[in-house]
Amino acid sequence: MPTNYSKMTISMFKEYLAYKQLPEWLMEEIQTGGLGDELLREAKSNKQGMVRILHLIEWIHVIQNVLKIVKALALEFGTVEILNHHNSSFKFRVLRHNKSIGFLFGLMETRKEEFAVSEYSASQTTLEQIF
Amino acid sequence: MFAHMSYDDENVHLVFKYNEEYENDLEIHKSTTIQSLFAKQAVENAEAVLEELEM
Repeated sequence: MPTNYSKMTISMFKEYLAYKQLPEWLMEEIQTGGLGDELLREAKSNKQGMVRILHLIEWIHVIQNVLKIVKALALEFGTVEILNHHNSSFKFRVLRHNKSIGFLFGLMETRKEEFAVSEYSASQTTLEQIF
Repeated sequence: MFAHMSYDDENVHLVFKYNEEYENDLEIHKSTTIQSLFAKQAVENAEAVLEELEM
C-alpha cells in the first residue's frame, strides 16, 4: 500500500510538535475556535482525518510569528486579546494606557523585522470598526 | 505582512494581514522545510511526492 507523504492526521502532528518541543499551547489551539481550528476543519472534511503537511508547516510558521507579536505586545501593553483570525489575517486588541501615537509608530518601526511586517499604517478607530 | 493600528482613547486594535511579500516568504519556507524533511527521511520517491504536493 503506497504511503501518503503529503498528509498526516492531527494526532500525528501533535506528536511531531511534542517531538520538536514546541509549546504545549500550540497543541491546545488545534480545537474549535482556537488558532488552529482551520486545521481541524480540514481534518474533519475527510474520512481519514488527514491534513496536508504543507498546511501544517504553514500553520507552524505563521503561529510562531503570531506568538512573537503577542509576546512583544504583552510586554508593552499587558493583556493582549486576539479578536479574530482568518486564513491570512489576525486582529488583536490591547489597552492603550495613554501611550502616544508616536509610541505606536516607534514600536512598529523597531519591531517590524521581528514581526515580518513590510508596511504599516495607523489611524483613529472609526465607528464602522467599532460596530 | 501589512499591519494597521487603529486607536481610540482606550484601545489599540492591530490587524496583521499577509501581503505578497509574506506569501512569497511563506512559500520559500514551506518548500525548504519539505525538502529538508524529505532529505532527512531519504525518501526515494521525493520527486513524485513533491509533484503531488504541488498539485
